[in-house]
Amino acid sequence: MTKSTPADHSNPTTPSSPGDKPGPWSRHFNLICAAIENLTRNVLVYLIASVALITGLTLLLTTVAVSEGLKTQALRAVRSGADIYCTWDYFGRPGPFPRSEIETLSSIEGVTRTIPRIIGRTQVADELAIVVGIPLHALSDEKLQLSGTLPVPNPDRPQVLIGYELARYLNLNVGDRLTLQNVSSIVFQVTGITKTTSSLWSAKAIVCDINEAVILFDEPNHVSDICLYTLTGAERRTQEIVQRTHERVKAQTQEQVRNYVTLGMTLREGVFSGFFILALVLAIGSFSVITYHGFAPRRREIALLKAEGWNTTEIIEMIVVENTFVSFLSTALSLILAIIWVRIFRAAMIAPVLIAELPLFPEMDIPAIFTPLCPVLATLFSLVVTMSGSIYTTWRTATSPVAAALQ
Amino acid sequence: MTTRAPLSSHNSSIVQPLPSLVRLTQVEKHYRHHFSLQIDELDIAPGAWVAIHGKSGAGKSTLLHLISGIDYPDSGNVTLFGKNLTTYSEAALAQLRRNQLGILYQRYFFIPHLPVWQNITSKLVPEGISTVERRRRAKLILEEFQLTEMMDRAPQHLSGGEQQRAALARALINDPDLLIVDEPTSHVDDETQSCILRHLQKRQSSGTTILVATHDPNLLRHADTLYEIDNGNLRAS
Repeated sequence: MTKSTPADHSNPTTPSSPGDKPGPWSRHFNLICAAIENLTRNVLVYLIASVALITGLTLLLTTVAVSEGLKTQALRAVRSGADIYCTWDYFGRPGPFPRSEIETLSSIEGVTRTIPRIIGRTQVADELAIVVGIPLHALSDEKLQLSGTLPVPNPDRPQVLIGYELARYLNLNVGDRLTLQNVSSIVFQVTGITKTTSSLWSAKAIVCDINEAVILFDEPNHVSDICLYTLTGAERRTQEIVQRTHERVKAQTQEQVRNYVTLGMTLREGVFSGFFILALVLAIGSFSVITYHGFAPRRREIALLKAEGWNTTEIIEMIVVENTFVSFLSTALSLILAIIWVRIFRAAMIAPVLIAELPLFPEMDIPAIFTPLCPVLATLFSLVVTMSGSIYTTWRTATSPVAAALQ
Repeated sequence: MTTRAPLSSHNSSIVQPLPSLVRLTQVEKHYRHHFSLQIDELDIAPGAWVAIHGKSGAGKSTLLHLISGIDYPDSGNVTLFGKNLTTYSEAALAQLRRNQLGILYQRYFFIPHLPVWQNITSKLVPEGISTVERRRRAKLILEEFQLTEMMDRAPQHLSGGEQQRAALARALINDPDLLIVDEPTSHVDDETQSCILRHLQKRQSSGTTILVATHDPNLLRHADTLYEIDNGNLRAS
């Protein structure tokens, strides 16, 4: 039953013109605008509520980026490396490889090149450096980014290539001289220094001729491993033949090494993911409490909207839009913070989890790649957090008796 | 209990039974662990001005909440516009509140982060009314309450009287058929009281049914029907 009054054009509730009749999508547009209005007028509340979320996302993005960067670098190194890596079984672990077996491997059908390597550690001043001794003719500056030149065999003045981190620590430049603790009688000349953009493994490396390495470690009869290059497509077959040459020879193809690298990185990421999930749970809780559950004015606002004629679906639609915006903004902010953390702070406190023997606050550039998957994942997590923390509590408030919620 | 015909009726000499706009039958509501509201029967005809008075805490606001559908009785029936409230779907109830009901709460209940004009047009948002049109309508109705200058301010920056007037403007924005008003003139100055009374009279003369809970003798004097709530029981007075 409604009142019977003549049409009143001064009544504010009548449209000002026929064109003001709302279209089918105008309701949704209004709800979106209402959501944006709420966001812009409650920036501080949402910022505080999103602190845990942004923190968790920043950690996630940084970890994923560093992990991706390390994986890419490692895989690039493996891809540009040998087709088969041969080690010698020594009590079930890789041990010194007899030089006498090198000729046997070289003569296997399908093997095009054989490169023995000596890889060890030595003290340089107070720093532990990785010594890589290989036939210098096998080095290629196509694969290495360096300043200076590659070392060449020089009996009078042995030449070395050193990593950027070692050079920085020892304050060495191209042309400087260097002695090592093992054999202080040998004076090396630095001909090249790897750039900071080159792979992390080379940061503290000293690359010298294998014969110098033999003297350094006093191991004339052994090497660390053998790198084999094969004909294209012959890797598997050659691997099988190599394994049959001696029961203690262990051969792995490049593909197998790649898989180990990927698995190793995935396991480390998995450990970090456990902490991330915990952060996510905390983020959901804090978002829920601050924006809804523990925030009485918001509950009262929802109750008031119900009393004014909004239905539950419309309220939830508005909340969904609000939280979608919050998710996108949180992701964007987290991405910016993650980039700053990696590029400026060198992934402090995170990189050491993924890279062994790295100090808590690294002084070298950490490889990191922000793939498109990062923000997509982050947005997804954001949406889960914001929606989990708000939809249920909103629905509960909207379906409760309005009078109680208004008190 | 006697129900007067609305002022707009032309046959004022004949008392005709009018179909109820609001009807409560055997309604009970228990609250505060020891108190209950009991309504045997309450009928409100269209266009009537019904006033309910009683001591503080007697149950006046609770009764208004039950009638407006923002609270539910523990037993009994509340019929609004010819239909039992419990049979309204959520969408239908929302439509009812948007188009036919206007509520002035005892404690204003504004959304603090929205300006006055957005507060009073909040029920027009889900209707799809454009922002420009909503602002136009807000301005028109705020002019009636001399609040045009306040339309862009936050409600907490208004005085008590201004907030009360803005709250009444919100209740009237949709030109409701039933206006439910809880203590509209308490804690406001005489000028605001006069303004509110004037608007209620104007609305009733155009056919709006008014249900008011009040202590104000001025409002009680203008009512067609008076009820008193005493110890949770409603009786005509």
